[in-house]
Amino acid sequence: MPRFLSLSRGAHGPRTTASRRVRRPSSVARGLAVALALLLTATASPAQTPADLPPASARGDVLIRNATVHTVTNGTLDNTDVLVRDGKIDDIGQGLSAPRGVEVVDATGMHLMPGIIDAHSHIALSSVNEATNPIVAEVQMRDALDPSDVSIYRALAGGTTTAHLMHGSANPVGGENETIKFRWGTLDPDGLLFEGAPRTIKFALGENPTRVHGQGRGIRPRTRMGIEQVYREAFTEAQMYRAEQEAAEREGRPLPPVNRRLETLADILSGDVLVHSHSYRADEILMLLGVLQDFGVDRVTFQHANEAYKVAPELAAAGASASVFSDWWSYKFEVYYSSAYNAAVLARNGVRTSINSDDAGMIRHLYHEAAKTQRYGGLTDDEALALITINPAYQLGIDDRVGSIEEGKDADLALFTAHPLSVYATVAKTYVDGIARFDAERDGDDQRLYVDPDDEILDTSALLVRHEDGCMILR
Amino acid sequence: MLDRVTVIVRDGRIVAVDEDAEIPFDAQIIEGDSLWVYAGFLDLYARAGVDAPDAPDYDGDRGDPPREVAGIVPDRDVRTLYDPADNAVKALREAGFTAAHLVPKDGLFAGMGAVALLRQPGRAETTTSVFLPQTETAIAQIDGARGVYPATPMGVLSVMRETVENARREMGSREAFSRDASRALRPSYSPVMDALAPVLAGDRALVFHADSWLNAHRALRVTDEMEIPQTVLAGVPDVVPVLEKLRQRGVPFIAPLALPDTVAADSLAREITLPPATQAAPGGVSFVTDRRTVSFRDTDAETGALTAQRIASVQRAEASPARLAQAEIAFGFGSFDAKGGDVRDNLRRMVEAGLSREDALTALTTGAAEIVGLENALGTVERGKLANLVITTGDYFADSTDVRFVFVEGVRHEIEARKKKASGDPNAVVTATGTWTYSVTTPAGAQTGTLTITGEAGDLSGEIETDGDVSPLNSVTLEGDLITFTFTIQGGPDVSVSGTISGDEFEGTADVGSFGSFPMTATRQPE
Repeated sequence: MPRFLSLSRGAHGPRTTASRRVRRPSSVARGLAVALALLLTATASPAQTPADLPPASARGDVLIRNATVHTVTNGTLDNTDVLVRDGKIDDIGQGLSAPRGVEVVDATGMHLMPGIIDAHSHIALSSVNEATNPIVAEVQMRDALDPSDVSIYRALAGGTTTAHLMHGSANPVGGENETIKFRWGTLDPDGLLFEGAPRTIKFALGENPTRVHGQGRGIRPRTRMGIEQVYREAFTEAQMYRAEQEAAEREGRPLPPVNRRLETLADILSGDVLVHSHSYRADEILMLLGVLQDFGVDRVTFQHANEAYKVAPELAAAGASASVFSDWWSYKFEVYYSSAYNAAVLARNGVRTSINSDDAGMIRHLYHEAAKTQRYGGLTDDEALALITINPAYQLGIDDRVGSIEEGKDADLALFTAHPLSVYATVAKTYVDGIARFDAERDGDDQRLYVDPDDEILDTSALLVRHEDGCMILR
Repeated sequence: MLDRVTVIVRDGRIVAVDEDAEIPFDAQIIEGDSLWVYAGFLDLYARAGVDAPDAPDYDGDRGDPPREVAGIVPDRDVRTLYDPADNAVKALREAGFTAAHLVPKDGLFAGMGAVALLRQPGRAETTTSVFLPQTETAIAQIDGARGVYPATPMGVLSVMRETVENARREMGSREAFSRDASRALRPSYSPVMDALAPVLAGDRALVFHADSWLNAHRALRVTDEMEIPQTVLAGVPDVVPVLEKLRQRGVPFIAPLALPDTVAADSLAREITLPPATQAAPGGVSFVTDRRTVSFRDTDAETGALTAQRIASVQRAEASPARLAQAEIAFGFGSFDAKGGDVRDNLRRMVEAGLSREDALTALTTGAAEIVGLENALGTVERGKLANLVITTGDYFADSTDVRFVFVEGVRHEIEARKKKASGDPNAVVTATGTWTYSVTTPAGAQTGTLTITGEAGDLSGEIETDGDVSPLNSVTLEGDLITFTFTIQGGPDVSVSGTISGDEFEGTADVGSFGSFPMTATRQPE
């Protein structure tokens, strides 16, 4: 490779591996194609551009008329209207009239469901793992949000309105996650924040942390036993830290130095931060349940949890939740003992269960993933829809705001062309706070929010499918 | 602007600016007929001549490195790292800069910056004599440590918050100890706290370098959370997404003098109407093609549209300073990593994109001086100020103008006229077609390959082989003996070649945008 080229490739990073520029000599035909395209643009309904989108602070008003409304918590209502005022669901009923100035959407023949909630995602982030230390409770996804990631728009096109952006699974404690709303159109990371959502934190058990730290660097945790001890020691240290800070405060002494890592761990112990733990095997699930019970932590969601069906009664008894894949497994040794009935077994045993994507592709069709539980486990429509709406909302502590169609809740809604659990359904419009942030009728070709002048030009034919947003990628 | 004025400089200061000033008997006289005199420019963020020492070797626990390896070095002083004789300093001076806020390079708290005059120290002076006193700043940036904690932006921001909070607590501890020693621990020596204390007390600005609008949002939030009294934001190439926040908070800004390379537009991209860059909304993607199903088949049309988007984004970067001026945000310019030789071209592009000459000059002089609190010493041609002057053959922003002299605190620097680019002989008759073997000399060594040019005069095309990849040549033109063409290295930058042909020999340069410009030769192979 010529040397000054290698310099440039280094500077551009791995992105260039996907580059294949197609070149053809210019021709009259090509010019004609563009002219035609421009003509079409002028006559078709105006495409939505990100610049047209209202700011993140906007709250919408709309009357969605005559839809089949899947409330999830109160059954399915036929030929029903939903009135949205100021970003909230104001009224649900038949024959509602639109207040002056409120847009009316005729949804005859269409299905309205709550915006889909993904309890495990890594999109819209500029870094995922601070993999340099087994415990980095202090780092926060909030600091890594990237509101210009086009994956947000693509997820909206699949009816998803909220995601739980998690750290990767390199560390036993990976840091605080962030729950966001897909307010596509803002370039201010704070515009995405789900105001008032509780703090949550990522834990990780099993092969990933032992590989990164034990095998990779020869430090604890090298084994599953080591992981348990890492937690027990960290929590104990956090208790001592908190006691020391509180003593100084009580006695009016200057506070000893702050340690944000221990501060966050102590907040978990006082119940201010919900635990979401990457896990696969039944034994490690029970291990963490035991550790948390010993330290008095009672809210936990097990993420992935492919073997959770083996310990469903124990999870139900402990009040623990599970957020699982529909049918994704066998990508490493600890994920072989899996079943497509996992979600159904858990749900029927009384475990709050959700289905998540963990993937920029799958987040676009979580309604398909939920539908699989009807084939494998025979869940009802409401039970299946709950897996991607009210249940993940509960796990994230936002079920008082979203996850069902009820008066007073946020107007985060997905309007489908058919029953959302049907393979024929597509998304017509997705509302966040009553604002249509995806509208299939106004879907343009290039929906990027921001174009970097130094970005390479990759046409569609050059794009390779890569699962680069998976939790296993260390960045 | 004053016409026919005499400026008298003595002992490094301006002593008179007058139409009929009396010229002292011992003065050295520069005839100013048709010359323009500007106040010397101030570069608000320069790394020219600043050494970037390697981080200390470290192979201990990656999760808990010493602070120097982690990048927590607010006590590192740029004055100990600066070499005024560096060529990059000379290049800045030749562009008209007479003073610069010099900054250390690496680390999340990278150290202390300070303002220096861009001249060599005199005989009785030391290196640090060129620095102006009480101009210290603290430099922060979202710069992860390599392979150790904190390696990511989220790690960096967390460490920043903790470092600042602990500096505050340490200050509190010291106060408590001085009030009543019996009730407090003995204060400990903390160079980190000592360096941050003036920032937290509001006596020193925190200059936060953000390399993108996204990091700028993060920087503004974290400085808010840390309650930093005086923040200056620096470096964002396209400031529009954070413009409103800057305005609301009254945070001054240091705009980079580097610009993204211009994008060669083929006819397809040119057909697409771009929005005026000065009006584009935040994000600025303000046109949408609506070709939906054809895009994956008609890749040429798609590439055209994507190229147009990219051109629009380059135009936004060019218009960024104009937007700052419109929004009435205090701003100056910083060279960052821009080459001194590019500075004038880039300023010209910014002026063409809507920045008025007056606003550009303000940003280079008085505006910049106010941001660093040096308005009494720098920024104008005025009695009493330091004799920092730029003397040109005309309007600084005109392409044809040369900078003739730069005075730094009275020290005269005569600037050599710019070398003209290869102009060729328009009357020569040569042919370009054939197969050539070429060689480009780069700092990393020579690289060679073959280059084929086909076609007839007026309709030339060709291809170039680089490391087994073959790229087509674009816009091959031959005028007299001057040949120019461009190509794009696969997965790499755009290259623009220009030079002259004599017989079967070619001699010229290959310009690889921000990577630099390298000598290129080629020899035609016998058929």
